[in-house]
Amino acid sequence: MDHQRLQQLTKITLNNNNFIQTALLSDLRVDGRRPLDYRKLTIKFGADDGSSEVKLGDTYVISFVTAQLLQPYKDRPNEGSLSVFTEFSPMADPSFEPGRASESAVELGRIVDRGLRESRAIDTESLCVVSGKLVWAIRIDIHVIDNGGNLVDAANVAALAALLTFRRPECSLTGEDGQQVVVHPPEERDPLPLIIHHLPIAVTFGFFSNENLVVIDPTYHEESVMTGRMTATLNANGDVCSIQKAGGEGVSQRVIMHCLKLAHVKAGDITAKIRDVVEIHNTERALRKIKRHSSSVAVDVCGTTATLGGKQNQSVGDKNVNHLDQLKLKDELNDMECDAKTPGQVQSNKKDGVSNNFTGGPSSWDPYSECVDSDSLKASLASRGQSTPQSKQKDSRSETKREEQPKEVKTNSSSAMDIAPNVRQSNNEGKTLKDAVKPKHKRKKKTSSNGRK
Amino acid sequence: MVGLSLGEQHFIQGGIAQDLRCDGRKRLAYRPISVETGVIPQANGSARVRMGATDVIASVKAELGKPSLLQPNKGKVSIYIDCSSTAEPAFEGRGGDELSAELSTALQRCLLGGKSGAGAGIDLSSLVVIDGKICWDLYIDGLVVSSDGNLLDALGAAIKAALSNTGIPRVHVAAGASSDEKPELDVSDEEFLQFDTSSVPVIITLTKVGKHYIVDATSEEESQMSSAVSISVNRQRSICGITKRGGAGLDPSIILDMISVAQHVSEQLINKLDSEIASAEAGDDES
Amino acid sequence: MEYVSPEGLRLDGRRPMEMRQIRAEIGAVSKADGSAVFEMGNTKVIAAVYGPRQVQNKSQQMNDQALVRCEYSMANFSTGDRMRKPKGDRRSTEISLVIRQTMEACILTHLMPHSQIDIFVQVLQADGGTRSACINAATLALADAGIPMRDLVTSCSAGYLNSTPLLDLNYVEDSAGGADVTLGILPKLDKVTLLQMDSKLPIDILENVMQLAIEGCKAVANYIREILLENTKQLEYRRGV
Repeated sequence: MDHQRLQQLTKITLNNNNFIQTALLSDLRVDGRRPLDYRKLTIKFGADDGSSEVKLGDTYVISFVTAQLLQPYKDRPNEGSLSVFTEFSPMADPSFEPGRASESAVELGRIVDRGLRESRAIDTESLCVVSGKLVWAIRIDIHVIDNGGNLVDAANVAALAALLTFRRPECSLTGEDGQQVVVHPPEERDPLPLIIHHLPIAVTFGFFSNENLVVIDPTYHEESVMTGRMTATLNANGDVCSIQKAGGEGVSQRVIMHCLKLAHVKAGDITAKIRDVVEIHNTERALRKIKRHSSSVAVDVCGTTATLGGKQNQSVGDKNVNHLDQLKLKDELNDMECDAKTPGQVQSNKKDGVSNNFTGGPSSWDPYSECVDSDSLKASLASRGQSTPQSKQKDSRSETKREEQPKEVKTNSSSAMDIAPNVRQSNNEGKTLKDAVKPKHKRKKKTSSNGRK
Repeated sequence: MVGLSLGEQHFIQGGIAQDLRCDGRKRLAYRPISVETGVIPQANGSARVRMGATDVIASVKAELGKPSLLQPNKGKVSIYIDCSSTAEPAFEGRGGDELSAELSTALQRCLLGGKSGAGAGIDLSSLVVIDGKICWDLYIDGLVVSSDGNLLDALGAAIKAALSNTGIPRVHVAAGASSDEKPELDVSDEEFLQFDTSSVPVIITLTKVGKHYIVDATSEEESQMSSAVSISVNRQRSICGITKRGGAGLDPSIILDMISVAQHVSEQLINKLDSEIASAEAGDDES
Repeated sequence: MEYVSPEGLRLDGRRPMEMRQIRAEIGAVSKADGSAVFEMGNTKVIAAVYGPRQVQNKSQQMNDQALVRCEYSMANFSTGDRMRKPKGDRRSTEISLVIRQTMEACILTHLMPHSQIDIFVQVLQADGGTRSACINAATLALADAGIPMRDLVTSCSAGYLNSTPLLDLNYVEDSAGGADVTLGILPKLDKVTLLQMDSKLPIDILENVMQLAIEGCKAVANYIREILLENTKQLEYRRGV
């Protein structure tokens, strides 16, 4: 209840309130967007599997996924469980209090949770180890680092990205009675990704007291002006997975249907974006395991990458597993050459994401020409040449990171100059914060490993 | 809590001293009591009791469980009371927990007897299905919907009514099962066992205001009390439990006096309750 | 499992577009400023409204509007399996928030600055659609307390099972895993204020289900209006005597 009081303290002034509303009447928003534009969405992954950082404008959310072997619920002996925990850091917004979860934190967790669970986005039955005895319990932790408005969408994307990159250790049953559970460490057997059927994407709309005003992805200031909100969770196929409009301004059914159709388009865009970044992440992940040779035949690889990239972009709806398979195949085929192609792909995909973001629809870039772009290739190769090619796993990891970083900034500065310094700053902040949160994460892993014994 | 002006306080106290209370009752008169049974269809037994503006619901649920090691031949009964925030805004969140806990312990003390289970209003040994293995666990849940004083008496009455409304399925134990195996049980859907509730006591709370004590105090009157003694009395007029609340001390002779008054009042209350329960049950059967 | 028989009847014998029996009663909690019981089939809730009154916690006082608070709680015996849940779990916190915001949308809060309105809802029996029943009960209780409102908010749920849109789901249908849409409308303004939906449903089917739920809400609105009229008549009659 104190939450309400603080919300009041940080309430927007009447002048600003009027300004936002009046500007909206002429289809203008404070940050220069049009009412139905989404803010820039950046997704990054941590070094560990199953962690993600999502920035949506100023909103910054990180998410971790962990798994633990637990006893299943009695009414569902064959299904693993999925739970969402939210943590609102007081530094994100003065109205968040440490300790007890506020109403909004609970609501956020419930929306993400319902979107994933009720639509059966994750195959929980595949998480069963011993029926009625042991199942994997997946836990999603969402931390809000900065509240720039529209936490729900950012948290939802963060949760999805983390789930898509999460790997759980493989385990098998041995022993005389076949009841002994052995958890294989990642060195022994490759950890398994989750089976995710579809991606429910949350898209939030804001309503104002003037009924004709609808905005998508409201900012912090807009949130304090608007009188109603609706979060629609849809997947790219146009299935509505959950809707949350918890009271507030009444809107007609027509407007709601219109919003759902808009949400469908946005969900498609965001799904593509998530798939792309996850794809890149998976490639990088696979590369880390590959033994490197010094020579490389760049042109040849570019050909394969381009076709692959094109194919993957066409069939965005494909399962993550498919990607992995493709990757593995590819890796076997041209082993060491792979390292030459990543930079190109990284760049092209990044660009794709950016253009998506700004045109608001599917972009028409040509992966092929992008990849054969000899300049960028040369540049990336040159940068690579400086470091020792036969580096160990660790080195290569940091290397890819180093490479990714300047690219990221470049795209930012070329497209959205004014945000760039801001983003970079919070970038650093994110690093330290993430480190701060890590220990908790590690500890959880430990307890889970205890549970396995 | 009830906010009363000094004048109102004096008025209440003065009225009680003159044996004429604010609502026209005498000191030892109850408000009209109405009983409704079978209000919660999901429960094995339930009842709603209204005393003036006090409104409580009690439900009994029976589950098969294992008797405790110390008393293998007795079932288990537990009482939980919940104060709904509808009754009083102060009960919001955890606000009602303290009162809930107080009422729960008082009711357990008054109705369930000692730790050994002796002197309980309900025959605990009738709950046993197989000695030391299976018994019925009774969960009695009380809910305070509206509160205008005298919650304990109302809850006691509601529990009594709910118990007499309770039907516990008859359990057939498959014969021939060896002693160490888990016996096969057949819980009947049609045959129900009724409790003998004649020995379930009623609770009478005597609230001391000034020099006198009253029964069935409203919340205004309760705000003026110096102390209150809750006495549970069964049909045989024997005392089953005593709980005292309130800060002020009482002279032992007054307590003895109170007990005799409670015994006297209990007779009327039990008769009144029994007839109400009977008519509620009759009405229930018809509908 | 078959939730709609070939003859077009549901498990409890209703037709797909049929609502359960609804029953409402005003004035269940005599001490509250306004109260009501609302039943939809076996679902039964009590709502009590206290206020408008002085703000209890001064720091929450608002200078331009009334403070609306809401608490939703379930009785231990309300569900089939007896469960002792601590107050304030995540589900009830969310429902409290939903009910509060829904009622806030219809109360003319700007008429009562510096004051507080408490809405307490208590579920006595849960058989699906508790959210809807709570909102309907709260509307009646607010009206009984004489709190100025834009419109009556009414709510109803609908679902989609066996390729059939169903009105007013009961517990069995609710937990069947099909879609579940809870809708709250302002019937006179014809605006949707509450919309919650779970599970997977294509947009066009959702539109149909929503339409059905809106019809349900309107039916509830008519009934609530009748109850209120009846109550007012009785008050008038009593005053006449």
